[in-house]
Amino acid sequence: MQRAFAAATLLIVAAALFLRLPQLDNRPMHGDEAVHAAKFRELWERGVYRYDPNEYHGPTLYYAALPTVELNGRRSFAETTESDFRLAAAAAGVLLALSPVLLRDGLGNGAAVLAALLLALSPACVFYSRYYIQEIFLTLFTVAAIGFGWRHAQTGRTVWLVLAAAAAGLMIATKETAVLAFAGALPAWLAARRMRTDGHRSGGESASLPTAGTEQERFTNAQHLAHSSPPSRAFRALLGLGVAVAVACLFLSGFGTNPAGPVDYLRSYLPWLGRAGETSLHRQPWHYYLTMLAWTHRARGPVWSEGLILGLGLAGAAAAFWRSGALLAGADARLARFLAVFTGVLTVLYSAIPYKTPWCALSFLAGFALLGGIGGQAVLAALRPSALRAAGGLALAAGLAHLGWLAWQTSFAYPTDGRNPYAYAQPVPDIVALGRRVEELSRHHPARARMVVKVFSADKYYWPLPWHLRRLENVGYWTSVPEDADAPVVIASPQFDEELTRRLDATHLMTGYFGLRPGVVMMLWVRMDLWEPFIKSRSHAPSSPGE
Amino acid sequence: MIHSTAIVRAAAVAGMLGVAAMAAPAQEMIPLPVKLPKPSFAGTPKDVPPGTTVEKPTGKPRPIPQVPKGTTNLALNKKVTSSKAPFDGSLDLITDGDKEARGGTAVELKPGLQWVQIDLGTPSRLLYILVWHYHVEPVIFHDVIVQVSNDPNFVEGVTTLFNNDQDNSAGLGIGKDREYFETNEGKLIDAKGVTARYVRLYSKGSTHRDPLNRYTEVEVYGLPAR
Repeated sequence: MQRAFAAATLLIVAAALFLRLPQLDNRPMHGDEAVHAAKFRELWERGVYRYDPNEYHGPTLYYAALPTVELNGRRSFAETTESDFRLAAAAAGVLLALSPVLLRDGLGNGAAVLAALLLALSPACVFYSRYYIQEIFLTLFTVAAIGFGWRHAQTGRTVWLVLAAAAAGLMIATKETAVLAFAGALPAWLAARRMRTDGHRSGGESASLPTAGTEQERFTNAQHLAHSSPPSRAFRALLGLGVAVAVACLFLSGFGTNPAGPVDYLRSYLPWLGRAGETSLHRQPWHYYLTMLAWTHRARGPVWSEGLILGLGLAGAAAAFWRSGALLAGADARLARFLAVFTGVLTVLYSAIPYKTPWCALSFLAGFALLGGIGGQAVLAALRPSALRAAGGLALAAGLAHLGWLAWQTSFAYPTDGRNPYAYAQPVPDIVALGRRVEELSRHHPARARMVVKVFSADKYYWPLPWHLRRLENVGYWTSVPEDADAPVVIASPQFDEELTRRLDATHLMTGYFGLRPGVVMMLWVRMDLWEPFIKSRSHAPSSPGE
Repeated sequence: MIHSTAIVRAAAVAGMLGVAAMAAPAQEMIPLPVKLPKPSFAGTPKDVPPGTTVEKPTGKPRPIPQVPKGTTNLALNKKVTSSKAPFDGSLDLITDGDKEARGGTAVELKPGLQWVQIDLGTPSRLLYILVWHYHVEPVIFHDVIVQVSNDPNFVEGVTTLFNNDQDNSAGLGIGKDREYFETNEGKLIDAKGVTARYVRLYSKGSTHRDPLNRYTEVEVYGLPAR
């Protein structure tokens, strides 16, 4: 059994890596990713992190990219690539897929493997594991906190408590919405605690972890924990709280470089609360996440559905509450109930907040995946006779294969496509061509990378343009046309065309449009003394249709 | 003396030709028989400026050119091939007569420089080519190049009718035409009466949210070969 579990775990890791590592640069940087890369730059180059209560969330994302950027041998920000940053997220995504191992003796072997598979193959989990934003980290730390907390509850060992608290601290230091997970964890903990400490494990398969001791030892530990004296409980509560706060403060203060960071973090809830209810572009109906995950079909694209995860998760939740866990096939009823309440509350909270972005669904989707392991195991165990169970197993395998296929479509076939529900406010691929064009032009300019580039954007939403121009040292940004508009290269919103035509037409050529975001384009003006040598060099450019 | 004789001869020939022309019946002209699809966005595209290389939208319907009576869409239901198999959809969509901006009316070709080629069946006199890449949104397709030839491999006798690849990124020569925003009017290209059997259209992505090349419809107006 141990070998089979280890083999299954290895296969899941391989699948998770296969879907997360290739072509990490196949999608232009999202505006948020580009902003985070710029924040990373401050930390990397100056060794300072300063928490901003109005924007950007916490710093774990930036610290997570330090090793990936360094390991790839980058010496300057100009050398960094999309893959350097997304590699950190991919690593977090693989760890998330592995996280059910921590809950193995609570879920049961089969359920743990199934939950890991669901996390490894979920299109949303895969897509946002290739995305340099906080969500995959927040989800990983949340599941890790549950997993370590479960291990502590089972064994009573302090090391698990410290790890759980550290994970909770990292949740806080990752994103302000960690508070929603804590809000979900409290009623979940109370619901699990209400159950009797004896008889909480259902019949059927029994799992064991070498580190967790024998079943009898775990039971004794659980009894001990349940009946431990108040000072002991108070000590553990204080220790956990202390570690969580210390870890959070460590990161939020930039490891002491900005002591005001933790206080600023608390102040951040004012702007974030305002944003949660704002009537902006991101305002969505309550069912936005659930309908997106259950069924999305746009134009002629594939039908996106994580219905398998939602359906199995609901089955797991039902099993958790059905006749004291009579349907649970080897899973611990307390853990099942904790996961059910936690996931339910988190889903309700995220759905109730008008401000919605698709990546926020990850937090509760991971809960559905863990419950899905329990649900799948329960459904299979309930099927009689064995032929029907075998058919159920085959159907589950087909569902998992479809999930993997969809994950591939999401991240490799439709990474920027509007039909992909997870590609949200995604800059268009044309922006990469704009960055390359400006770099190419700079090679024909005497100043090379120091060539002056002026960007006149009609509004401040020109990100991720700075990322795509990061290799040029003299790039300036304006939201109107300045007095001195002249530069070898001018990138401008079309709204400024008439003014630029009047002021630059004698010396420049508007060489074409480049897309920035859906429906937003920028003009590229090039001074003739630069355009002419550039175009001359391209007179015999090779052509290879079909490439 | 020799000079004056030549002038007299030339005048005589011209006179004969003139008489012949007067004797022949004048060719009846009709408006180009185009039926435009419904617009999918109101007015001119948002943010369309009077660019120096991008065509200015006039804000008015495009004048309909006059063509000889008998001019038809020679491309309707004709065979289409492409540089690579489509990413999604069938090549038949390019000549099926459905040019509406609905889901499922455009074929999608993979990223990079790609072409589609229409075989008209026989060499014919071509008057206008009308192209709709994708007019669901006001996007600009890059490196739009339209060529005709009687050689299916486009090696010999190639005539370029349109080329807005101003930086020669497609490598087929520097184009002098302008980029343009896609609208329901499509892009009308003057084929100048050239005789050809094959029409090839290149493109290299767009300002749209994905790097794909798209074709909703291509119409090739001309006089059927007799």
